[in-house]
Amino acid sequence: MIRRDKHLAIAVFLGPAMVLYAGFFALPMAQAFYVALFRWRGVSLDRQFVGFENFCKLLTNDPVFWQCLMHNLAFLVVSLVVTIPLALFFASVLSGRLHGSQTYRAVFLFPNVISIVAVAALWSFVYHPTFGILNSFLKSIGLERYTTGWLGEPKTALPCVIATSIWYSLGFYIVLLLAGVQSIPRSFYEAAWIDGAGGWQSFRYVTIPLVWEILKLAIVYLIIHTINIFGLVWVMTEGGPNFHTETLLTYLYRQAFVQSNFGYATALGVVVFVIIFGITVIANRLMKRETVEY
Amino acid sequence: MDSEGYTSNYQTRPLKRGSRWKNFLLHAVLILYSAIVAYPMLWLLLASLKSSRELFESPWGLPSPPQWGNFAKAWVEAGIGRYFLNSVFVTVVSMFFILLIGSMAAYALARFAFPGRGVIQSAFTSGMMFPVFLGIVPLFLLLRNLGMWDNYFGLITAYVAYSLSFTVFILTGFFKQLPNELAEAGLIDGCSHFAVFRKIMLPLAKPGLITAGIFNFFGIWNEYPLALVIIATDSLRTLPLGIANLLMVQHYETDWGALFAGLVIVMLPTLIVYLIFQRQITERLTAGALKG
Repeated sequence: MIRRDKHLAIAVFLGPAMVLYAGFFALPMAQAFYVALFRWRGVSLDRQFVGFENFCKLLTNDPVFWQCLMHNLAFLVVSLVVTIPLALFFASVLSGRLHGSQTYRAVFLFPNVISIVAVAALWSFVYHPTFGILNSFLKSIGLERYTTGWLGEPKTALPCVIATSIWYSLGFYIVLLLAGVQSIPRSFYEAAWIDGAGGWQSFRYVTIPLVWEILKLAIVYLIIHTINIFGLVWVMTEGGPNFHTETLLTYLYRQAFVQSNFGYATALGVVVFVIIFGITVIANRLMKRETVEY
Repeated sequence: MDSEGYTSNYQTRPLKRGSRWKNFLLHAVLILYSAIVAYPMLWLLLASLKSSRELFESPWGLPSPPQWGNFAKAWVEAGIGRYFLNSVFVTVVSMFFILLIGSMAAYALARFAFPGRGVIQSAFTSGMMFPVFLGIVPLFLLLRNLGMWDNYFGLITAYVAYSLSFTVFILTGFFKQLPNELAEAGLIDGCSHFAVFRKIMLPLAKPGLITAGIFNFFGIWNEYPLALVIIATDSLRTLPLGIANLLMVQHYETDWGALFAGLVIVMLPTLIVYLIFQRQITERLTAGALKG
């Protein structure tokens, strides 16, 4: 009796979640690998099995795809070079007994909880050619010749969007790394100091090795976030001017919901998934290094 | 950066002469970055109270007089009010179902041993690895075929399905920490499994529900790509969707004040929730990092 009761309870508790998750999450994800094999235009039943044609076309015959990939890589590389060192720096500073470090942390994290659409809109205004604060700031310090259309110019559009994405996400990485730095026992730094280590040396030989696991996690997050960029670009520039800020996912959205190339767009989705998966695995391999236990 | 920061409160080390300067310098850097974070938002707040003419003529000045009318215009004429209420509805209903369905599943996974439990648990957990966009076309076609496209039934179903992975993962951790003896005691006293869950275990898992609730609130209140694909009718748009649309259309119009006011309205609820739950949010991020 109790046994049957238990099985019934398990079914009732687990059932709704499993049905919804399988039907509206797992099924579409799995179907993607199948839809990608069709030439499928519009919502009609007008579809044709073409095997790997979409993938071939994407990888060998679509310059926009490679352009998008380069743009995502630019996001990734710039973020790696700027975000990670800055986050590590701020995390180290905030883990000390500085006055107000709680407040600084709260301020730094805030952009990360705003809607990405609001962030995009806010920064579109910052970069606005006529009333944006960037141009009026340049004018006020006498650098008027550097004022420009920012998001409207092919040369400046991508750097501007990348800067915004760093502004948006830096706080997240600070808080993430802060957790690691704070868990390092204080006595380690005292020991290093007694051994004659200066500021930089104790950072290099105590902080870095001991936060390595979390640093790895942060880098993997960064990879996933920069490949998955969509809303920021779509709202700020719609991939323009003339595809100069188009990223993998804005291109996917355009293919699927502007041009109704469902099969092709889904093939792109599969490629993006494989890229994320691949880079994550490679990054984990490259960063394999003895974890220091303490 | 420097060992100074870690040891300055300890008597083991005499205060170096340079450390006061170093502290000063560190504060200067921290304040500079705080300004970079906060300034655009303060500027937005000021801009939302300016007339379009003032905006162009004195971008740095204070609004005089403040145009409170911008907010009324944003709320009524630009449709921000409707988008706001839409977002409240979608967020509240989605969160209710996510927390209900998610906590039930997490409870079953944490408390009962049964064949296939490991597989089901990792099926939920691995969902966090899949990018939203991988399944977006099949999801769109599925919702269309079921008559769930361009309505809240479809949007909320999608939100619940996409949030379960994270929610079940978090809540399973919380339920596992609760002592099984309590549930056993409840069963012996004649409670049904459902009563044990609702009356004993769920109240105890409240911290977990709050954490999952906060992150789902931000996730859904701010959500953009799924809403963009699932909702087409203007009167059904959520706030991010409405704002994005206004911005894209406004390229050709010029009621900037109302648009700025709209942006302030979007950010306000997030700011309030953030201020209330700031501690839980950073704690959760921290815990996630340390567990790897």
